[in-house]
Amino acid sequence: MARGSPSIVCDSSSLISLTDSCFVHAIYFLAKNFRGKFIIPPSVEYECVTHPRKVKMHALHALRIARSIRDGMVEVLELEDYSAEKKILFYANNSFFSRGRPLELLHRGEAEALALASELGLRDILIDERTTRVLAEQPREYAGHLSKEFGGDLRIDERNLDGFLGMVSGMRFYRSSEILLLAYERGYFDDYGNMKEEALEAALYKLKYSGCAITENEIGQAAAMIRER
Amino acid sequence: MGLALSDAAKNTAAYFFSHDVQGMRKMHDQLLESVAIEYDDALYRLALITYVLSKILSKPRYWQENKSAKYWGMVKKRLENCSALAGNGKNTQALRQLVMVHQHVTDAEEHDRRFISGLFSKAAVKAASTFYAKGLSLGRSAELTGIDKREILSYAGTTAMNERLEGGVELAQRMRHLRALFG
Repeated sequence: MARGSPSIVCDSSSLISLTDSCFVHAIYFLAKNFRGKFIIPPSVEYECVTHPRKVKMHALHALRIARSIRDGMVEVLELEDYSAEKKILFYANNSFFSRGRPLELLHRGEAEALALASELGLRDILIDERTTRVLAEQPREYAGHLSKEFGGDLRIDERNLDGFLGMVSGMRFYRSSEILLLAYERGYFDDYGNMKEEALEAALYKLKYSGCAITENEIGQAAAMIRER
Repeated sequence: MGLALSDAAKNTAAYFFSHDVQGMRKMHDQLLESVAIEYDDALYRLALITYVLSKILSKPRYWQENKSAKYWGMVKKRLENCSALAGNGKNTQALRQLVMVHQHVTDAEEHDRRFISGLFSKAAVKAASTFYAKGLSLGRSAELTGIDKREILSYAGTTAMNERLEGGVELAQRMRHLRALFG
């Protein structure tokens, strides 16, 4: 894969939201005219396919993603060098301290998606998981949240936080809701005819209830945006 | 300085004995906060127990039933044992007492599956979702509790817990970038 190509690295959270709400075909729909690829690291494949495939309750969702991998819509790529993942984990998990203890915030899976994007020279990440996204985009707001949740004695290690922000600098994050909105703009809901706006709003709520971190206010903004276009 | 197991178990026993639902819920919140900062197996197990006991206490008709009374007596005794053992630094034995508390509640469940069925699983899903809402990542919350990410996402999505942490780039800006990416 060429460095800097217009591909997007996906975290498991977005694939879970899309499959649980039965919108995985939005990926097929968008992939038709996409020069890049939807890429996942092996840990995401494990979380979304290998493991849930053995659990009856989740097997169908796992098979939907397995099929999209088989069909070449989603590509699994392994990190060649794990040092970036380790650095991301270290910086993120030693940036905030409560009661003198470092708050271990991120997990290997999230760090691996960021590291893979970095290694491939990609800056676009599909992630419904909210912590990683807000930490990378608005670390001060995130610190305010932690301070509220952990009782106000939060200490920030600025050097480690800067280290983390340096690793994710220039990255752009999207949620499954934006993928669905883009698919809508390109005709994915057209067969709903004059009900398509209502269908989109219902679909965004379905994503929200499946765990996509989109607020009601943002769903309202999305509805206004499509009316304006 | 984190929450001490001996104090937490002692307070849990006291709240259970005095049927103090509010106190039990507050204990549960303190335990979850402590576990989020620094994971400890015994404190996590006690957090699940306090959730289940708060649910039991909130239904007087349940804990007032004679057929369950002997189990609740054993629960209280085990919690007191746990506190004493943890106070003496015998953490492994203290943890074993908590395993027995779990067992006694499960034994009581056999007499009333209708109410208690699945309370421990529900407690774990709620704990995982609380960690996520507090600001730990989804993966980290799943790792601490052993709960599948799907269940956490679903719980957080339906309860609006996600919205406790707002922020990030505007939707319109994300859409501009995404349109540019897809050409």
